[in-house]
Amino acid sequence: MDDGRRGRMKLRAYPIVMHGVSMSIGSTDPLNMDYLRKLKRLALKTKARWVSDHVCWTGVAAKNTHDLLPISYNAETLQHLCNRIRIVQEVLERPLVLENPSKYVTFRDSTMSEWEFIRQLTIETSCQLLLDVNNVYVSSVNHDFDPKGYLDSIPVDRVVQFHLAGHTDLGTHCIDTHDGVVVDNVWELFRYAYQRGIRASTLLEWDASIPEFGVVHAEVLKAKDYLRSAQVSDKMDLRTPMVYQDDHMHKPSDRLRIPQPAMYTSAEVE
Amino acid sequence: MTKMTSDRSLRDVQQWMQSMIVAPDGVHSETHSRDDDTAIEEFAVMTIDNMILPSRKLTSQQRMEVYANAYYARLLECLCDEFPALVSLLGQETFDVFASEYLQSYPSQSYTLADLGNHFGRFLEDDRDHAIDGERLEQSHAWVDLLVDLAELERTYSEVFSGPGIETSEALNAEAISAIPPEQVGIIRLVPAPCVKLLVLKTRAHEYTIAVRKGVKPLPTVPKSAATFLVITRINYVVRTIRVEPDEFHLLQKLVDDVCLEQAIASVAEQSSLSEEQLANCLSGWFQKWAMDRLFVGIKPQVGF
Repeated sequence: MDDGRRGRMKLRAYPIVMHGVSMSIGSTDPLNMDYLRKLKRLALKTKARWVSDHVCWTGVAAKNTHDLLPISYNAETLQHLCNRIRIVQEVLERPLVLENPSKYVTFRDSTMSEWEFIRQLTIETSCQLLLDVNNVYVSSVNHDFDPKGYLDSIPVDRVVQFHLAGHTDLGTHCIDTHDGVVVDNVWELFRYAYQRGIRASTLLEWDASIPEFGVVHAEVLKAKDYLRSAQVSDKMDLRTPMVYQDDHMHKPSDRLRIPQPAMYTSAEVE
Repeated sequence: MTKMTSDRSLRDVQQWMQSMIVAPDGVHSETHSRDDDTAIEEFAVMTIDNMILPSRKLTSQQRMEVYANAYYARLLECLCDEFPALVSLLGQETFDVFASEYLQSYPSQSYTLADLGNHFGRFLEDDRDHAIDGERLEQSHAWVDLLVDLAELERTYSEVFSGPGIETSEALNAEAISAIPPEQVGIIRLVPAPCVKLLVLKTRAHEYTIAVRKGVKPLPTVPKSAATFLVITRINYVVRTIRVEPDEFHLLQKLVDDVCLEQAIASVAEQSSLSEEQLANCLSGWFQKWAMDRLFVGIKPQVGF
């Protein structure tokens, strides 16, 4: 619900973090101040530990595609985002937490890597990071880069949360579908991030084709196992190249795979 | 005038990309979403190849298609979730055609997907002329009436579900009304629950809609034309559909419109075929029912009250 009334019933027992897909921090349209004020109000009511969104834009010219659209990584875009992040942080009166989204195109206009761009964002605005390890992996496949190099560049002290999720490997590219188990390569990256010194809470995203609770829970518990193993394998060579294990990838079904976000809450009707 | 590659701004790039991914025929197309014609002309030199790098396994165009395919797939999925009865009645393929045209006419302008279906009923109504078969005029109009009714009803369900409610507040009960001095009962105005919506349909679309949502098999036959008066509300976060008689609906409408009790009842009495005694009996039953259904939450303070 728009103002979180229903959710608030269950909030007293658990710490809350707020994660959105509509801030459109990278858009060249004006920031939606009404939306930001609602976010702030909800964050105060729920005593949210932080408010996060994505390094992306969702629409322009007053339209919303409801997708996490990619930005070009160059000085103009960096300046634009820094200005807007500062405004958002002033309105929310707290550091903004930004997540790296999965990306499917590379702009010719880009003059720096995604990880350089994100690093600069944190330096110039003091924003914090939500490190989606699956998104790093998906983008590394789609953009032909080494995901460990990406993680090496992330400022460890800025990360407040990890995201993990399943994706769909279409052979030619990966799509961030949140509809299956986390693949081994992503788990390995997660362990690598921990070994690099990133200490943050972990959230598993499984919001399409959701299985029984026990299956989801077991996947969450795997995160603990990987962190435990990371603690004992301190002699491991951190720079071991990634080995792509295609046989463990989530294979596509006939349904058209829709990149996240694709969430709509249907009304409960009697 | 077209922009050269060297001086395109971030805004140019975003307008170009958006126009590409919302184009109804995909990124191959020469035609584009109506609102973006200007952008397309202005950025004619911004081709996919000179904007987007290929990857090892995909061309620039294939990479853009990931976003273009996702745009309609994502929003159609949301509309299917919001309008399941329309999907059932029309079939998936026909629904997708309507929904795709709707998205081109009414692209989302809201930060929330909850607003995506806002204008679907109006779109179907506006599209009535295209759907009318001159040789079967009556059936055609009845068919469109049903489509519009289903869209309005399912949209109302969404709004009532997502909007403000009374789960954490008290509803107006009979004791509160009986505590009002008799000489002042007539001038009171009732405060409707914020989740209460009144809906007049041309068909019994609600019976079909509820059957679809409950997964009833076989589904009831397609509803025939019949004026239908509904109250849609929400109790304990579940949306409820209450069918009422025309007189009861008339009174509710007056009260929701902030007419005082006395005038509202007088208005009903004037139009109703019920005798004074019959109406009095009905009123008693209606108020008890409304209290149970939590349709009102308070009494507006009157001067000197």
